[in-house]
Amino acid sequence: MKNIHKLKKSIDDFFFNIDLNPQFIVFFRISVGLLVGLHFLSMWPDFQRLYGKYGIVPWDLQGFFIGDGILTLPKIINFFEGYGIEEPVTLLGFKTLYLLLALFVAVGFLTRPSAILLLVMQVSFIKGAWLYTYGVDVFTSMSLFYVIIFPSGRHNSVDKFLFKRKPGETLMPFRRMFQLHVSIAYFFSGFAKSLGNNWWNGEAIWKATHMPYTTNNDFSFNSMWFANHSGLVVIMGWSIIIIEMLYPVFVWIPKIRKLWLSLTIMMHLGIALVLGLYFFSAIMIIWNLTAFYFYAPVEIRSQEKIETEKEPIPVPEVGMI
Amino acid sequence: MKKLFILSLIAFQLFVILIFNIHQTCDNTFNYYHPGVKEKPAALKVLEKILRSNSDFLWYYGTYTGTVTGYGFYAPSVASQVVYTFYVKDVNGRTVAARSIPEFETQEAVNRFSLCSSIWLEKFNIKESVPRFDKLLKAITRQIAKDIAKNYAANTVDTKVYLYQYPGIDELKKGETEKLILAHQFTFDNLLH
Repeated sequence: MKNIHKLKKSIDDFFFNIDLNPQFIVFFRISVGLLVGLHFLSMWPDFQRLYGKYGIVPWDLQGFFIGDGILTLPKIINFFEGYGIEEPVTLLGFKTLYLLLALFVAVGFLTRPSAILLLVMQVSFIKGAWLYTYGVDVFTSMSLFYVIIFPSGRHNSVDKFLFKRKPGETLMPFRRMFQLHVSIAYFFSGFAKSLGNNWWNGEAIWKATHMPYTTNNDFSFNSMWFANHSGLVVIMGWSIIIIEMLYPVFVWIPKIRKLWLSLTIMMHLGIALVLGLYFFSAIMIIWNLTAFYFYAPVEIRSQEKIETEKEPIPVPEVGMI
Repeated sequence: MKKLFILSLIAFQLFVILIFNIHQTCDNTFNYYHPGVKEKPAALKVLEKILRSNSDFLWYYGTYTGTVTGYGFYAPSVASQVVYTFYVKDVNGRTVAARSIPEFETQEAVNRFSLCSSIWLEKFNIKESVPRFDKLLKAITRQIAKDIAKNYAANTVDTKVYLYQYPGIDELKKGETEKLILAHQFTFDNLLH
């Protein structure tokens, strides 16, 4: 019984007993809204050829592995065609609404309904053409899901101004869920790499920088330089495994958190520059900053203890870097 | 009550993330070390049973929360890439152009489209002929060839599908160069009809 009480108190301490500065939620909502919009704009002229019903790989082939229950963009096009509205018109409406909703999320206007609709639309086009899906797409879905479940519209938003929304919920459990999610993601990313031998001997880095479609053409980065400094690719392979796999340990230790966050962000900047995955890197940096930048999570005190000691609730430490 | 609801949501979300990741990590590692082996270890079967028993609900939840994914990017190893070469032929059968992907206006579209050749890796992994899947691969490849042919008003495209292999550092030092291993080839006719 005593143990159950102790466990309950620990859970309470971890998830609830602190008032948080809402900066992390505001940062997340604005940066996700802007990134989703910019990412969409980056393929605007080619959107119909990739995701249209009769794009390069048409919808009946793309839909081969997708269950009937998922609303896909071709189904939306079919629906409007039933009312005599042709595909280009539907697509123009879809693209415009998508951008508008991303802007609404960024400024916090009708935040939750906008994010729900945006998520449904985002899933509709990535699932409708699953052949073109990569990491950034699932992280975009996850980000929009978190915008929906966080009280995102209650802080520094148009909603707050127009509807006089008051901050009514404790933010800590949302922050904790997000922190745990990021920690699990990095652990599995590093652990899965550690199970192969290519990351330990550097071959994975070498191979990734020489794939025909995954190297960055924006910079004249000469990856052949690695051939003469082969020890470097081994160090890079080990570093990536260590940074990722030990992330859930070191990012929770206040004295090491700054270092680990910086290393992780540098790793993502490297991915952006070498592999040209700008949007994927950007969303991962946003996730890192949202989870661990704005305050030190170990400064938790139970409400009970605070009341007993008559001490004020710890003020979150803002701005680590 | 609200606390309990929030805690349940967090527990469920973390459970889904964990179960998908444990499954994907085990599955990828098993396939990496035992390519083509159908009989899987008992632990992996249990995980698959859990996922299958709630498959519809987990699938929809995972799809709309983005959690239906593992985080083992480029793991346990960086996969090889599959590249296409489309040889566009004129009416006399002469090659007028050779392209690897259709033309796009944006780099993001190029990045995305280049992913679609990786479906061939599935075929190489299963190591046997599945007629329905083979038909799908051929149909997808034909559609890409058709899009490329349109720009040249061509009717015929010879298509080759290669497995791309770049030499390791030691092999490169010995003078080896990149290899394109021919995996499949097709000739698509009547593309303008």
